[in-house]
Order: sequence, then structure tokens, then C-alpha cells
Amino acid sequence: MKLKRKFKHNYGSDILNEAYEKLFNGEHMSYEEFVIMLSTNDELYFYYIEKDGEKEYQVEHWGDGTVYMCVTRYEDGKKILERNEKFNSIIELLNDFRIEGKSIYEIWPDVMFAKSR
Amino acid sequence: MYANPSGHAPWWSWALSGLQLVAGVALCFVPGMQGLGVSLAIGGATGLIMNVLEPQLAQAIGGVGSMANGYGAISTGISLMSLGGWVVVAGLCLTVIGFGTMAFGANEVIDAMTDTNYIQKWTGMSDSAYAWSYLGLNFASSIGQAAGNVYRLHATREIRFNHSGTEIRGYRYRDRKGNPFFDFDYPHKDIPYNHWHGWDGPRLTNRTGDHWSYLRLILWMLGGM
Repeated sequence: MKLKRKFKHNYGSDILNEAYEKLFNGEHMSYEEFVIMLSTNDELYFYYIEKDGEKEYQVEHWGDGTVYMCVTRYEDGKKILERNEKFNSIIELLNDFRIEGKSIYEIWPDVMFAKSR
Repeated sequence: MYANPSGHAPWWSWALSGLQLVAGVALCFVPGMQGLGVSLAIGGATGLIMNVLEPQLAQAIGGVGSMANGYGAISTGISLMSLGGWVVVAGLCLTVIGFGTMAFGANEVIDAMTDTNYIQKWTGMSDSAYAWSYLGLNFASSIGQAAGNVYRLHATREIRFNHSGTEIRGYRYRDRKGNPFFDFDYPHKDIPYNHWHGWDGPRLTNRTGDHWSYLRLILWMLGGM
């Protein structure tokens, strides 16, 4: 840990550096920061508690530009893939993907992130 | 050293070229060391050929390769020192070894041009002691660079966990400037195998979308040295 603190992120802009600092600390970030981070093609995770429990959402990028939203839940320590939706672009995913009928933007205040070390 | 009446290159010249070739190829597989790895491999291979055709030229090529090898060790040593802690000592040792390797390399180039081995002349080293010192420094520089860079990548990586912190998702490795360099990811969803992503510098849309094998990652690094 001591070694890593001497090393600063450099993602090319202050906005991205601050957003990644929050992400790695497991802190909540703004929706706008999340969207900008997605533009790096990073496969980001977030977590949200649905009616039937906590789910993990991961944006998966492919080389041809298509993206998937993979939704996973944990049951007795096992990962279970619930659904996997394909989109032609990040914009399409942000527009059309629904969680309990709501867009990512609408549920954003309640999403959570995992802390990295 | 090259005053061999038969005109053949001495054994250690072959050993040095071979070592540089092997070390160069090995360094190509260490992320971030592709530039030096390719240089050393070419220098070593050229040295082996020149040992047959023109031993004196092989001596100079070996010297230049050693200087490059030493420079790499110094550079790695300095980057290790910047991490702080006990690694400063390791970085300092590697830097000293690098300077020694560069000095012997420069001495070889001068020897090839002037027929005078100044290190032996000033220190009184025997041929055997000189040859083993030269080889040893090159060996230590190569091994030190590989180990030092692997350690630096390991020490500065980010470990990405799941929400409960019970499962590692993967690692993000950064270059010496803190730029994202490459990611290692464990299998996720549609990708049922361990895989890698490259980061082509600190800009938007620069994480590669494809899910690569380690060899593919290395080839990408070779292409974008």
C-alpha cells in the first residue's frame, strides 16, 4: 500500500483521474463521470440492490464496438448470470438498458462500487 | 583480448553474444521491456554472426549491446528507487550494476578500436577475471531488469475486487509514469478464460476491446514499442 500511494493515476485528464480515484476507492461518482469513464472502453462494474437482492452489473466491450450489459447475482457464494444484453454502442446501452423498468441514470443515486487495492 | 593469433573470437565473446540474444528474447516477454529486448536480441544475433566473419567487429557490437543492457538496468534501478521503502536498496544495486555493465561495454568498444583494454590495463585483471566480470555484469543487468520490471508492475498494480471483497476480478498495471498500461482479467460472463487488455496511452477509447491471450498482448506491445 505504501508503495502505491507514491504512484498517481494518469488517465489523460483531471476528470478521468478523479473519477478513477473514486472508483478504486469504492466511492460514489456522478453519472457524468461514469459515462466519461465508459468512453475509455473500460469494463466497469457497479452494484445495485433490486427487489430480490444485490446484483452486479458489468459493461463488457468487444473489439467490434458492440457492448454487453451482464447482470449477475450471488447465491450461496456462486455467481449466477441472470441476463446478458447486447447493444450496438455505449450510447444505445445507456439509453435502452433497464433495471426494474428504470434507466441507469434513474437508479444512479443508489448504485454502489467495489473498492480496489 | 582479441590478439588471438588464429583470428578466432574468444569463447567469452560467443558467450556474451549468446547471452544477449537469450536475454533479449526473454525481455521481449516482460511487459514494457520490448524495446530493449528487441535491441539486445538483434545485437546478440549480429554478434554471433560477426564472431565468425569479423571478431573485432563482434567485440564492438557486444560492447554496444552491453551499454544498452547497462542503460536498461540503470533506468529500471531508478524506477525502483522511486517506489521507496526497501526497494531503494535493490534499485541502487541494480543502478550500480548497470553503470558497471556500461563501463565494460564502452571499454570493449574502445578495445576493438584501439587494441587497448583500459580496464585490464588500469586494474591488472587477468583475461579470465575480466571475461567473467563482463559476462556476470551483463547477466546481472538482464536478470535485474526483468525482475525489477516485474516487481514494479506488481507493486504498482490495482487489484479489482467484487463488491463483497471476496473475489478478485483482475488487475490493472501501470507504466513508470502512472499511465494505465494493461489489464489482466479473470473470466467474466461471455469470456470464459483469463485474458488481457492493452491501454494505448492515457486517452479516451484507448483500452482495447478485444480479450487477448498473453502472447497477443506481447505482440501488441512489440508493435507499439
